[in-house]
Amino acid sequence: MTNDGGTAATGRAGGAAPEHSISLKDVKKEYRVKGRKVPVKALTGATMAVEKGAMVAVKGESGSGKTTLLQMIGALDSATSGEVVVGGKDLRRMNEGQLTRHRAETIGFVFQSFNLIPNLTSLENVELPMEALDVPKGDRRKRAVELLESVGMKERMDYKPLKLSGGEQQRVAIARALANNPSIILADEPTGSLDSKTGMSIIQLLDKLRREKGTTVVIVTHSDRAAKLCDFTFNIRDGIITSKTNLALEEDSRLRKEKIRAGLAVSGKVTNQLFHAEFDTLAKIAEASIQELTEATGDDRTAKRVSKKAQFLLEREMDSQKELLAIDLNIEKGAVDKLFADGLHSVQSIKGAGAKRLAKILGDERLANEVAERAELQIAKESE
Amino acid sequence: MSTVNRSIRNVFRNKARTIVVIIIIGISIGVFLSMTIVNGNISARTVQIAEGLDTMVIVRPAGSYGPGQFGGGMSGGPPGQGSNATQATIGVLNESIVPTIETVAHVKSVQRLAVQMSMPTMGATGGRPSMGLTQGLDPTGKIFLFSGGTVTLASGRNLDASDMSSAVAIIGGNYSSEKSVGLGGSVDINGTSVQVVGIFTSGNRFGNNAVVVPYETLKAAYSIEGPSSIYVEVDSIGYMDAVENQLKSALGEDFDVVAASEMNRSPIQSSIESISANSQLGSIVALITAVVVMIFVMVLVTRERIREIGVLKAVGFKNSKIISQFLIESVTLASIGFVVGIALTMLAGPYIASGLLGASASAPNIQGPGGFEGRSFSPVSNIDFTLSLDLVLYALALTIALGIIGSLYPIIRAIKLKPAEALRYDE
Repeated sequence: MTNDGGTAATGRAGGAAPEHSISLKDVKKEYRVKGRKVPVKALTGATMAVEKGAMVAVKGESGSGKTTLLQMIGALDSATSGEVVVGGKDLRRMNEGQLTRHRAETIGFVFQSFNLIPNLTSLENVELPMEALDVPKGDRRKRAVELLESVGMKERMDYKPLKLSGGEQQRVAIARALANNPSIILADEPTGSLDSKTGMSIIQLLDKLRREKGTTVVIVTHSDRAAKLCDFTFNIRDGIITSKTNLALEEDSRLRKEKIRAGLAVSGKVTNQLFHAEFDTLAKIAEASIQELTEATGDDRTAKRVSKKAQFLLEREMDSQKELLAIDLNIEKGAVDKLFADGLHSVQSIKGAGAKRLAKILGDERLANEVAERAELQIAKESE
Repeated sequence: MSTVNRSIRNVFRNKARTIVVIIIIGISIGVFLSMTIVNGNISARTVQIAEGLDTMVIVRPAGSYGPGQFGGGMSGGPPGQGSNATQATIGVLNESIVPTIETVAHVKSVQRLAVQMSMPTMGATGGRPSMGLTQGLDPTGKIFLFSGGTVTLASGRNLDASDMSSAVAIIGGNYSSEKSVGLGGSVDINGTSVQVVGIFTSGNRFGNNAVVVPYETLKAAYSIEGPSSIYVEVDSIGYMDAVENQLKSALGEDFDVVAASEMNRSPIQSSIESISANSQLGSIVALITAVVVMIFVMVLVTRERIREIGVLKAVGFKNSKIISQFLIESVTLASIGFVVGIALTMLAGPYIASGLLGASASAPNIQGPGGFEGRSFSPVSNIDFTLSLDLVLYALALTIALGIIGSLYPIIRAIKLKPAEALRYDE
């Protein structure tokens, strides 16, 4: 887990410095509430940076300031202090008219309660942001139809919101958010009013669209499932960004640790020590020397135990894989052994090897051709 | 969809509320227009009554009723202004006093006047029933109507001194069209046929239904004993008091001698002034009602839609565009109410006016022929409820102003909210 503790942690590893679509530095927001002497502090120094084209989640408890954070980015409200730079523009230096134009051109909003205009059809709702920019009527209509088609709502373009389900309304809202081809989409709890299945389809739709168009997407969410589909998750608490994590990687890592811990019958501490030393798979543990394992775990006996167990498990896994391959390709165990000995452990690798190499390994051209054919058939079957 | 299109559709988002508001505004505008028409006519009427009679002195039998312009009245009722009697009586004058009157200094002309009323008849065009009125007047001076107003010839000629006992008549425009009688046509007055030599307008419905013949002609046709009143024209307004006093002195207590200008402060005139004041008040109240309703409705509408305003701001709508949208909505609402108000005025204006001004609009009951009580003598019932283009345009301008005023305050208040505040308004 990456703990940034409020520093501006940035983008993906490698390559040139990524361009930041959104950059917040020490942003504070206070509200004066009637009857209260002390102002409410919604943000207390939030700092974050989101690179162009990324899809990130902002996660936090109720009252943590995540919606306020989104409002700062979207110029729906102004920060009390701090720097907010969106799409290369410093929002503090913009007047009301410029902010309105900025919202129209740069930002697309998706709200929890959809916020579609109830007496307008889906098509008319999608046209609205274009009307704000005085796009000609014919062009507006054409683009609105295209957008509804891209979200799978073309058949319902003449329906008013009341006649649409929650998921359908949110799709229309996403189409509306994309109307002016914004570089940033801000979604505030877009799945909050939907069931989990529909909610996931919405997040997947956002992901698909941002990959197609290179749009930066920021999603405020409570849902871990939704956050896992994002590149990163910014965790917010008490108005400050506390960390930036990749939940999908974390989940994958957790599952692998659990598998190794259970398989080797060792403690969590030993598992962590092995992972820390980058022995994070059975194969790596089985191939490591006793000395390396002793250095990692600090105990010779434990090192020998885990090495033996890993080899045993790996062997068993290999045997199981061999049996499966023999069934899939309908060949003798002897032929499978030869293929495994040459490093071909799966139907994909067998298909990729080519008939010539297979003939050399198996020593039988006819068998090699049959194996190659069967591998291809098996792959086709698996992809159905 | 354009802003205008969307705004007009928004007016009907809550159909029930829209209908109620349109009805209220329509009624307000209808009342405003009706009251304005009444007030306009009444003011003109006041001018008409005064016009042409400011150098006239009227001689009547003592105790003649109320306005006394008819020279007759109900027995037992209060006597007219300036009367010597304690009770009103029906009476005619003895023509022998005419030479006495003529001898008084500064008397320019002496005209005998008598009036005959008939039952209301439906007009030829199916219009409102109108009282039949035949006035006999010596054509030796100004030709006027006893009910007030000047006689303006529209076609033909007026009566003159050569027509003293001729079988001729001038008729009002309404009478001409309703009875389908034109120049050269004939009118039957109690079996005597008289030829129409002129058609006039008088500025009020009552006068426009009148037939004016020489006094002698009327006297012969109805076998009248004498005139109900004698109109004495003074040669200069400076001698009015002197002539009045001399006539009183010469004729004695059996006669009422009243200056026509004093007649203007009669109960009818009081009634007219009361109607004028009430109609002005009525039109102001109607207008204020419309403004209040409009403001109330637009406050409600913008409050309901603050979140929507937040969404519009979030997707990039400028404040000016949002304000225009709501202004168009309220002007549309007011304009539909305006159309309803116009329709109401045309269909029911007189009934609205009579209903609202009923007490002040009723003139004193006057006994006409057959005992008919002349309610049609009410100043309101004789008003012509034609909507002039000027008035329609004035009302339209007021309506548009109403729509703008009604929505400007609530929408400007709402627009000042930041998008984030507007979006969480219901939360």
